[in-house]
Amino acid sequence: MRNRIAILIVIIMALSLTGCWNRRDPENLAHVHATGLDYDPGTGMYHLTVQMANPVAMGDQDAGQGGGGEKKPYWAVSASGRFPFETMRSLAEYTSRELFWAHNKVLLLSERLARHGVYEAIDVRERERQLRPASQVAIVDGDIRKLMEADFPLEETGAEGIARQITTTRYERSLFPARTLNELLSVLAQPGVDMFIGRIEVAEAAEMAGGQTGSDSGTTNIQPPARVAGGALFKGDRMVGWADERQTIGWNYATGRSFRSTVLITDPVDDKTEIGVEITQLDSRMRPVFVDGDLGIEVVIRAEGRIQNFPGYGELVTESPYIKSLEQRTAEYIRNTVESTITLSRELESDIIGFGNLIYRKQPKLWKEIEDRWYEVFKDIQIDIKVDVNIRHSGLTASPMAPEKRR
Amino acid sequence: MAADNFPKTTTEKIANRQLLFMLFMMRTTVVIAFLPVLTSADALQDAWASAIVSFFTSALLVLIIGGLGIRFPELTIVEYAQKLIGKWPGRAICLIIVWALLVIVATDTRIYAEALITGFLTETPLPLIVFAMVIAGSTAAYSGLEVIGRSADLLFPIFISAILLSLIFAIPEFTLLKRNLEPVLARGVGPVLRGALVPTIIIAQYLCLTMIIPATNQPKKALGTALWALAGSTAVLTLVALAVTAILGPDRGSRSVFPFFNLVRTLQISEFLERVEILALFAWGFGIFIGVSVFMYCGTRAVAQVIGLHDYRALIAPLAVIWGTFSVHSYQDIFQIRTYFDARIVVPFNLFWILFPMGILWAAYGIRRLTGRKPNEE
Repeated sequence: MRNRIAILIVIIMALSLTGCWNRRDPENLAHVHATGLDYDPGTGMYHLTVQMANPVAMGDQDAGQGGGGEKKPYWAVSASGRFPFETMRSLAEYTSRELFWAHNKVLLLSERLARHGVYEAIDVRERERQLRPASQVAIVDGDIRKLMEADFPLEETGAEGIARQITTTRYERSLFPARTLNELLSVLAQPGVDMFIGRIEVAEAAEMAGGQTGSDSGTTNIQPPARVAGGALFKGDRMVGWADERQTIGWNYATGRSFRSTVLITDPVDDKTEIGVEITQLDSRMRPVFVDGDLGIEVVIRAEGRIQNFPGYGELVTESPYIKSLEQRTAEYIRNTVESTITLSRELESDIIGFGNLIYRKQPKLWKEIEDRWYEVFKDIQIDIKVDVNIRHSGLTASPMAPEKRR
Repeated sequence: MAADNFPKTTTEKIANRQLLFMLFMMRTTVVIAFLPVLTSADALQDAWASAIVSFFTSALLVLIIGGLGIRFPELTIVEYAQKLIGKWPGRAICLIIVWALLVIVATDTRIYAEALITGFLTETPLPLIVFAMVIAGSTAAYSGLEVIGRSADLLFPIFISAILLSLIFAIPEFTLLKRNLEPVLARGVGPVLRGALVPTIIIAQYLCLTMIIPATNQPKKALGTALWALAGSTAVLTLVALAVTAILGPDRGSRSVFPFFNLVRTLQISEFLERVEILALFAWGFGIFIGVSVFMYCGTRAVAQVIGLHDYRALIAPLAVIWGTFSVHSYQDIFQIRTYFDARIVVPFNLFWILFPMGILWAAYGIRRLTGRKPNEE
């Protein structure tokens, strides 16, 4: 008898396990997939735009039914508030479902907000339990709302599109400093290094998809909604300027984070022929050095490349002077790229590569002395970049076709 | 022959292995829950060194706590205290141990409940979670030490694999951000030692040893078991401290309320596999459960022996109510818990629990040895 009562109690208790205290069932929530935050310095108001998956439309697509195809699989909506958390809650006025934030993939910040200072905006993302520091962060050059509503032709939702485009650009071109919010927060807190956040450029209205709803078969003229390239330099939590594509690749080279990148060099034999080399592997090491008692920094970059475009003519033999010359020219290109980043970094007083942090880590006592005047020291410090490139492959073709045959 | 007036209500025996699992889980849970090496002092990126230092200092305290136990392998502290310093003083001094266990249960349960409320069940009333844990713990304590030992056997593999899995998932992020661990030991040993204070003093948990040693298979080896548990727990603590400092950064880590939980939240194993904090929470829940049941068992048995009760189980229900209520009411909010774990507060407080009773008993023991009386004599 006692056993039966016990079993009954267990069964009754198990029933209560099916939901949490206030019964927030997933099917009644709207899942936020992308968040865009803008700040208006004139009014001091934050504007938040979120993109949610539309469960109604998504369900239709899965079922393959044409009936409910009127609805987009996602929906973007905006709200305003005096501080970021208030904007999150203000969204409730415009949405029929409670929002669920844990599936957020990308966090987009407007240029205006970045120039105003981002700490307030990211503090809430660290504090609020549903927001995750694992999301990708990007600074939007252009209208955030337009980006949130944009159609990514190959993807179901815009958020998916933005996240994929970031990943693709990062792997294929190293054009984007991919960093999660978590890393940015730790960069902001560490001495001697400034934040560098990737840039998303919103396509202008004229370039945008002409008539996504009206046109019957003219999908070929849909323009890409956004371009992922470049980055924003910060000083503290304020943005101070943009880096162009090459400077961004330079950052990826210097920090050893580049995946694949394309380098264009001229043929050592014939100045008019350009050769395309793809950098496939890259590793970078930095260390402080003392030359005659003066502090300097040495950056050693080791890269491996493969020839991808070879319109010229030259025998590709191991250790031959020709290959060596190609390697040297590639190394020179990489060095110039990194130098362009350092120049920009010095100009804007934003130590994005983290040379100061290097000194803090390796020479903590010295850092204490120069900490307060670091940006002045940074402007004159000797930075020695040594690049060593190995070209090991030439694709599936060994030597190019002889020039006389091409004539 | 006062001690013999206590009928041996239990002849329960657990293996030393089970004791090891229990001690390991109870300590690991609390030291990684809010990672005092990082959050309680200014050790920052050297928190891992504090973790290692805390092993040696904690080991010293374990020797003080358990040393007498292995000299009286058949007796609990309540019994040998009466032999050493007399019936009533001996009983009185054991109330300090009971008090310590009471505060430890209340604090551990409260931290767990706070974590759940902060991270998951924001609107659930705190007493509900606290009492759920207290009821689970008291059920286990009611079933006896052997049952707790078997639960420890069962839960230990889940516990350790959940923690190790979380740490393995953290490796990619760790390699990316390991620069946050530098500069190493740049500010001297001061911060390292200060960081070791609170994790050391949390060893007051091992006061439960004084009640468990006679129930082990090989009581004489119980001290070694406790040290091994401490070593294992220190290893986990060191790894967690390394991972948290690297991934969250020293500054953010030290500002976190639940650093390990924050760490797991940032992990993204692949596009489809994130949100792995459930692993950490599982481990945490199991660890707290084992800890709470052991403390409840030891606490109720100690009280039963002090007041001369035959069966400790009669005391579990009333004490569980006291424990739960104490857990709910002893801290106003999460800030107070953080304040409690400030070295200036928790260290003297816990040191008193350990050194006051143990100091008196060791002194009595020493005097007996010097004066040539057998320690076991009345």
